[in-house]
Amino acid sequence: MEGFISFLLSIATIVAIYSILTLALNIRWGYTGLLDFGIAGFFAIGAYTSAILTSPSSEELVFGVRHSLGFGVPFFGGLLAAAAAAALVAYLIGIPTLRLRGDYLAIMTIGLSEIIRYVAVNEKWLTRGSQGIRNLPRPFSGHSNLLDALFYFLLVLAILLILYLISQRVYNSPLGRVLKGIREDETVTEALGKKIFKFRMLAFVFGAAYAGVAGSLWAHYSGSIMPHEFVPDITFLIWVSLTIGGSGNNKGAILGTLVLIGFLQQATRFLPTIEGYTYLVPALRLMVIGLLLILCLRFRPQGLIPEKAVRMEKES
Amino acid sequence: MTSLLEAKEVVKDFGGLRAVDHCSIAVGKGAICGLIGPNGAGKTTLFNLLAGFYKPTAGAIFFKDHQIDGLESYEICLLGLVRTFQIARELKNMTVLENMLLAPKDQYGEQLWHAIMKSQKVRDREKENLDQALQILEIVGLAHLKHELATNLSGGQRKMLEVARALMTEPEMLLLDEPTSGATFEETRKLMAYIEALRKERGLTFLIVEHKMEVIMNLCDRIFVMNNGQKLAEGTPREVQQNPQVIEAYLGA
Repeated sequence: MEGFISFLLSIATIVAIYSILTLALNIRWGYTGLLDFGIAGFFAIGAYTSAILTSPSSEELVFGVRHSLGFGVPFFGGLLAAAAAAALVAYLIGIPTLRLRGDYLAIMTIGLSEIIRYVAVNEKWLTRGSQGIRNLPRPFSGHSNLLDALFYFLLVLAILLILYLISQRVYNSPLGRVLKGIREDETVTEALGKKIFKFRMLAFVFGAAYAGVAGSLWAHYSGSIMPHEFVPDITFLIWVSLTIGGSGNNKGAILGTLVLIGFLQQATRFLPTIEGYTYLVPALRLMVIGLLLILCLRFRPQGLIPEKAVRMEKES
Repeated sequence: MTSLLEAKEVVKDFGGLRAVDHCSIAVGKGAICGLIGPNGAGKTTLFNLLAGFYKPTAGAIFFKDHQIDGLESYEICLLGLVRTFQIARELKNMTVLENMLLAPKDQYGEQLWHAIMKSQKVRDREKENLDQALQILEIVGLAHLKHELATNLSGGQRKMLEVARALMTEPEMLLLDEPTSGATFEETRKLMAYIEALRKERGLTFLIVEHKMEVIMNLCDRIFVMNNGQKLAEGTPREVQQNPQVIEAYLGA
């Protein structure tokens, strides 16, 4: 029984963390129409920033390279720094790339996320390379395993809720209107006096900060991070989640993540393998995800919870 | 009368093609001017130059004593010169009201912090803009469609929305590219009356590209005729109608 509950808690925590990534993509793609395939990269930046800052300092030799980084910063410091670092990288990358047309931006961002992963593999002094950074502290821990898991889940859930509310505020604000205008027709939006580049940058950086937070939460959830965890597969799972859930709708983004990551990716993790066909079940899982995406695009292209038009009434 | 908008010897080449050839026009404040000419004469290219969508190959453009060639289109809009499009470009998946409320300038709520906090200042401004939007929608006859997605409007309604949305930027001058194409007779008459009223009550200036001669001839004080990228003639509607060169350009030799 306890095993089952902790299994459910771990799924719920993973879904909540990934939901933050889907919210990030929703700001970039769902609101603003930025064709962005770099989410995994900003996820990695958040995870590594937080991991390096919160690790206790040490003098370890890793593959003959002295790894002495580690600052013992408290968890919330790492969390904020993760958001800031991801946002800063997005800003610097945004300067040359955000003037590009949609498909070029897509290529640039996927390239960027791979570069970030390779930096994590190769800069061993900073990241300990493919060994990864281990023994990351988890806040509110030191009780029973179950309670630790529960507290961490509640923390992640609270952060998800806050970020969801901020996203909703932005969506319903004049700022959200400009972002949607850019998505619908950036030429018209510019002709109406909006500096497009500034708003594209804002959406890009804002989404990066969200992904950075998710990265930090991921690092302290799993307790260790390695570069191969941040492959572009994550980016594409997030894209499928958003598409199934409803692009442009934050509730849809979270529901899509629950369906895809919760039910398909995680809940089926421990399905028994079939004797002699070890790879059959994992492969079937990917096929089901693909099938789901195709069915969704064919029969419900607007997603499970479609975007709602903002109704503006007189506020008295 | 000094002119509000002035293009001096403007040239635009696309590769080997000269779309606009040493064209000069001047529009005085409070004027309603027409720009006519056969298809391919360069009218829309000239519009794109004036609105900052293209940079001229040669020549200069002035608006309110600012040299505006070389400025981005959003900067030109913020100076008070706004354009509409020949083929209506409504923001499809946004409601009519959202289309309208996008346009006003200096909205506090466009800054991230204000957007998240939704302060009183943001709400007050939003209410002002909403009142103004509803007033304009009432005049152009779209008020009953305010919550409709723009993609569901008819051709004529979309053209009305173009003009209405442009007005929300509080411009001093509007460049209207075939504002009545696709509009019904009734819509056309309504729009013509509204343009007259805007000039009279708010002193707005207009430059209008239009193929419907009854619109141009009744509305405009002054007409520029273009042909093959050049300005062929200029004058009052009466003068232009009697100009043999204009007749030849339209009817062929």
